[in-house]
Amino acid sequence: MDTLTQALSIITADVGATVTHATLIERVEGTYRLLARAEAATTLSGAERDVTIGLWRAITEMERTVQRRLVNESGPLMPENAAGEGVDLLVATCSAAPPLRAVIVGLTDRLSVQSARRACAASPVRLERTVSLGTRFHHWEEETLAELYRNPPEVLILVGGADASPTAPLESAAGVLTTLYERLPGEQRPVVVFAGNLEARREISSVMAPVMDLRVVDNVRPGIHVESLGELERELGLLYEQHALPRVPGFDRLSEWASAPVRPTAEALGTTLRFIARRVPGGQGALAIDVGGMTTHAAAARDRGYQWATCADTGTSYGLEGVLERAGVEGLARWLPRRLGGEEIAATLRNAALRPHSVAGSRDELLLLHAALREALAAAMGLLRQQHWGRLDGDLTTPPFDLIAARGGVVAHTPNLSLVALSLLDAIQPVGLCRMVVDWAAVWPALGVLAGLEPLAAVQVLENDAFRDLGTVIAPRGGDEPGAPALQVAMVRDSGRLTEIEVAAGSIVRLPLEKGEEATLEVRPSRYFDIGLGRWGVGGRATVQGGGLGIVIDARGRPLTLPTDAREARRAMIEWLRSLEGHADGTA
Amino acid sequence: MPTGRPERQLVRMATILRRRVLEPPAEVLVSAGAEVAPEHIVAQARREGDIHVVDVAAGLKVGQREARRYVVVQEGQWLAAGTILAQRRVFLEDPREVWAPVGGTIEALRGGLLFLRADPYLVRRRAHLAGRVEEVLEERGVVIRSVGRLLAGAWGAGGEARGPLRLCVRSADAPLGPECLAPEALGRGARGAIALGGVLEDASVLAAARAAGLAGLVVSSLLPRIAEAVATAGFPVLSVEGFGHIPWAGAVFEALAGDVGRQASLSATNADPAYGPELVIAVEEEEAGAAGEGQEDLVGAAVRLTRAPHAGEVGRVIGLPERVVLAETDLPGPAAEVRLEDGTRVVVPWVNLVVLA
Repeated sequence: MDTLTQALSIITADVGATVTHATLIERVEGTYRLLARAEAATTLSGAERDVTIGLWRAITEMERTVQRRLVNESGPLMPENAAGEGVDLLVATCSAAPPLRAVIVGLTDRLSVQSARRACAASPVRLERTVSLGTRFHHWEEETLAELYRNPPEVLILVGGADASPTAPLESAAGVLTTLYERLPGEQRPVVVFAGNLEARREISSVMAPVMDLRVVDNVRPGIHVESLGELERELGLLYEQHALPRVPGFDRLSEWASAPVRPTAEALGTTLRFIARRVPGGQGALAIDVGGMTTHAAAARDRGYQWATCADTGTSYGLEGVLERAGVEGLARWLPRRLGGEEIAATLRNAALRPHSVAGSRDELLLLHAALREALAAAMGLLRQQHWGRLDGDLTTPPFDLIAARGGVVAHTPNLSLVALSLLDAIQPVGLCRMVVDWAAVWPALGVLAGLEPLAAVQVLENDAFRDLGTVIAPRGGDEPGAPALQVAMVRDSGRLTEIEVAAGSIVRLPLEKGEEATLEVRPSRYFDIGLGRWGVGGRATVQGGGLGIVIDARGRPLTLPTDAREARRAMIEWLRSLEGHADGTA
Repeated sequence: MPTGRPERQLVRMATILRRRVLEPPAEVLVSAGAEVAPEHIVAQARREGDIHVVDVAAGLKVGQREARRYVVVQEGQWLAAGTILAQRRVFLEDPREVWAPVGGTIEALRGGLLFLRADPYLVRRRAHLAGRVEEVLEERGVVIRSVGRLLAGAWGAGGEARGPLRLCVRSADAPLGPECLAPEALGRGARGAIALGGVLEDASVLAAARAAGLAGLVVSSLLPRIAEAVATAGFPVLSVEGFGHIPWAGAVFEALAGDVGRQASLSATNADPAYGPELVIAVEEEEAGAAGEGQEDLVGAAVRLTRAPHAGEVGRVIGLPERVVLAETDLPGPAAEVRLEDGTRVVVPWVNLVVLA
């Protein structure tokens, strides 16, 4: 449709690996508002192997809510007609395709290969293998080549050499790989992305391009101390869009329904997140985490910078196997307030992965899913810290952000906000003062697409409807003996009402402050805590906003240390959850 | 919560359409409408042999560029396994030699590596199900239409098998130990059979199954800790309920017990990627015709609850209330009222139910 004419009604769709979400946005008295949302199982298998079937169901669910027709048997009614049936636009994002299987081939184990690994961690690829040819002899192992031939990756990333270094080893590697794959049927040959020595481009193109789909991007390591990942990351993102998404059953039809190209969910989420970060110039930016069914994604936007990391096969439905593998049952059990046997944990999570559309039916099961959520999220945050923030393995804290924005099925569908907040705090371990919000309607990525068609709609929905506010969090760095005074907190509401509390080290408490309310908060830490100002024992004052939980004061310390004794750890989890479910000022 | 009808575990008479294809180009050997047996080959393709890479430079202990000098075979040459590929004479030492690990054709020498392609081979796709060719997919294979008992599994590993169905436990909740698969317990004719057992708790059962020559194993559930052993057992294993200690639902077990001796096709990993693990039991056309399609009405159906707090329990649907909002997830969705075997009534979302039979 002509986008110069303002759309009156818009459907957004986010087709995930497990669930398809839809929302209806309409212009109401001059302002775009989110009127309805619904979800349906993503239809990827069996006789219903077409994602538009699931989307169609989600839209018909919304019809029940708004009591008007939006679709007919063949798809959405577009544009909206005089009788008010149908919508003017449909925008869609998709993350239902599994990540691309990738292999890195490099000359050495370090430098270029490490840089390429970092690029993969930020991309929708599953890195299956890294092949290093050795520094002196550039030696191929026979079994490695046989394996590369038997199970060709979808993407082969060839890296190595600083710009202007000798090109012969790379040319030799290109020749070997070309020989290996030239007799495979075309569709089975991997796409080659060359991100190595600039000088080798011409020769590598002449050897590989006649046989393989070759993409040439900037050298990831043009100099020993210089790294350039942007182009490789962009190319891998593009390959996911070009090769993986179109393989999703029904993707062609989804593209026909959509008013703009269907974009990968993570990429569209990046657009929205960058917009949010830019709204607060000079601020501390926004951190977004997306714990999906199959993949977990963490992204940080600050000023004009944007960094992200993706954990493939790590999520809260299909990805539960991956979480179990990473964390083990012990890693998951430490987050549970009740003792569960290892077999029970493994069986429950593996059965949940086998039936990804089923939902948690008990508190114990929900707590176990939140344990998995913490581990999935901690893994993605770990990648973000290591790959982009240069943190060491053991540093589990997150620097201050103005906003922490969380999304994903388990995050959005847990009515107990205290549990959601606790899981996020445990896994992210933010330091300082931040606001925490949840994408309750699964609409943020689609708003990134909508911004290109109807920017006003995207902005107004983002401001009015897209956030479920959990509240403001204060989490100091440092620690002290449990029970020792950690923080003196004074909160003055707009009404002038003063609340003063002392928060003990090792505890987490909250002060009520309704959504839409503001207050002035003054925090004075003991000398063992830093509230994010970079100075121990120095206090500060800030204007804070309320939310579902009000103000959360997390004085458990950073990095967060769980009691080593399992019984003590369970007791601590119960206490922290209870404490967040009540109020520090005695109100319930 | 996501909408959708509950899955059915056992459809007593189902019309089953499954794709049986190979990577193109393949030769389709049957035509539309043809009757096929499970062992019938419906498509075949000639495939290039695997590439074997021989590191000549390393074998002769010379540099990559130097290696070419010592190669005694030519590109395009066919040779048998064990043929000398390269040879280097070293003063006062035995000559260093590199041999062909397999028979095949020399493709190329690059970077000190010899690429040896094994001889071409034929890959075949069998019908796997008894039925009729519904559709020919050009250069790929066919769609088979079959009528039979369809048991949907939750998890499986190890590919496909075909054989007569055999029972190796006496009741729905009887344990499956290695003694159940001992020759004296199984009796004659167990070799090549697909056996039905209970909960798989012990990896030693796999060794017993292998020793008995079973073609495949169908269990009610298995413990997570032996999943890896199952995946590498070398024969297909299907778990109907998934993981944990979940015995057969009585109705399903009884229905399958009545099929002992019938030919079954087990897909622990389904060659048709659109479908999950399953067991198809051949039934006579007349019987299928009499039975018709499976029961569609949910009320009265025997169901298994898949999630806590009643995970694994069995009951019967006694009503379909209005949509419920599940307290733990805050999501509205269709639900069923179920009377459990102990008489307890619970309301369960459809997505947490499996219709048994």
